[in-house]
Amino acid sequence: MNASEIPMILFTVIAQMCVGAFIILGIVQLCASGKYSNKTIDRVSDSAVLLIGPTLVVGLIASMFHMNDVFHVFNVFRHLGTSWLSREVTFGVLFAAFGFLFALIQWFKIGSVLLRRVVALITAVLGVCLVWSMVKIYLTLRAVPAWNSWGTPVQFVGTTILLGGLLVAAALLLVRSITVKEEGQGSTVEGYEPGEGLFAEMLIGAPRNATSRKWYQRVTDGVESEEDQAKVDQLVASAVRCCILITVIGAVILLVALPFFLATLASKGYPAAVSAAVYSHGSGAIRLILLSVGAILLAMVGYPKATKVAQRDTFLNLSVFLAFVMIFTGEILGRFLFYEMMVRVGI
Amino acid sequence: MFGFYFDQTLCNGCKACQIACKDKHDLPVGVRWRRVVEYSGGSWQQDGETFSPNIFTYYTSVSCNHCENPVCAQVCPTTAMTVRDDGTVYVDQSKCVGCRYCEWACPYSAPQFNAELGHMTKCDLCYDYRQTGQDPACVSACPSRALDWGEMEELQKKYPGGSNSYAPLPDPSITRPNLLIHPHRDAQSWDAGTGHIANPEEI
Repeated sequence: MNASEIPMILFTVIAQMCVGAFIILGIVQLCASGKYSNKTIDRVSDSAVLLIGPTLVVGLIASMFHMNDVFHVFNVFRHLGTSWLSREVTFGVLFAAFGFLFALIQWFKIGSVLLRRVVALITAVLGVCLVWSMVKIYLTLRAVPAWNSWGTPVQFVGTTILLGGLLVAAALLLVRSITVKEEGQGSTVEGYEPGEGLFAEMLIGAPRNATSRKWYQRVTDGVESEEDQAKVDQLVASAVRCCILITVIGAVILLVALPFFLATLASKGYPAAVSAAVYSHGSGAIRLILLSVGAILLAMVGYPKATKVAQRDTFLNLSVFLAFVMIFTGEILGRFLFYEMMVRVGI
Repeated sequence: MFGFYFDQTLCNGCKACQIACKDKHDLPVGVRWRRVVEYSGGSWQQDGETFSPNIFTYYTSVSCNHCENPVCAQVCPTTAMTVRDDGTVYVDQSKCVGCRYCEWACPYSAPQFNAELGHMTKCDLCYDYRQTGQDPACVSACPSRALDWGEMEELQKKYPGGSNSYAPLPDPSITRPNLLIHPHRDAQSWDAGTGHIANPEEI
């Protein structure tokens, strides 16, 4: 394995996941806006928005390691006229900047709802441009037949939809499982037992200090009645089901398209056939199995269980988190194989 | 537009051009701006009850072709890959970020990564030699006079009947290389798929 590809594997998969999550969360909000109050929608989606930010930062940091001379890094904006790599970096930075702006004004409720929606829309469009410029980087290389084909957009858009939907579902369930637990213990602040979940503590803020207490109150705040709570539960349930559905459909499309893509490559002779042969090793099978098992888990356990999130459903949480780990690992492995398929024509 | 001329019928695969280039530009191990590719293939020919081998092998010496459609310069995010007024392409070391994207784009493996510099490097058709009226190092070094260089129009007049579309070179429409090759008697078309590169570890 070529270690120099690790930054690109991490960056492309994580950035695509973040774009997908942002857009799918936006779609969920739009679909919910007719049926639910803004307060309910904000309560459900705010924490998920904040999870996307740090994830994207990890991806952007990873991408820096791809440069062999970081002192020249600002030169990468110079060739926007013809280089898709320049455009990708630019859209990546803009997507991150607008994403943070949106997270900021959404969290502190700065500006009108309309203004926040406009910022979210701009962010989503920048995200689409980011994923598309990633596709074009590889799609336009006539020297590499395995990349210069419809397989590239299918794989990249596939990752965006699969992991985007799954990240939103996982984030919503994570927030939900913690708040329900707190309420179940009859107290929102003192009832938390430290050490019960370090990850949860970090994310949602076990009310240890003033900052995390504020954050915690944010998530449970504004629920005046049981009726409100029921609405929130209902929205989380339908949002999670919607996300699972998107992910499963994405997985099915990818599982149908990939073998077809590989067969097309294999029939083209050298060097495309050499690229296709990359999948004939064990790692290719593992990638497809991880995706299949993850999707089956979501469809058979996650989807039917997601009707009742009010009670903390261990099976639901477990199936979604397990599916997330499996499908994320599968996509990382898939991206590794994608770079392994770089076999050029000529010499 | 400057370019190279190469005569496949004269080359015996000695690689003096490759070594002259390495020496002139002081290239580290693994970086070869000029490479000599051995292309081989063949099959059995049946004549009645007799099978006889029908085989070929020939050499092609390739560096950068300073293409008319320089994809390396187009994909470069930093504009470090620069096209001179005479059509030759070089790497501006003060700009290159070492992302290696040009390496993926070029079907001739012309841009090569120099790990010591952290930058890409490539043939500049011996810019400094040309300024002092000398030939590029590879052209001077060839013992069988298989290499030449110059304005493409002049080369085409000097060596009529050449082409840039022989295997193992790729489809010339990708980059439109400024390369003129006088073909070996067994030279295969770029899309014939009849042979394979016999010395992949050397190029």
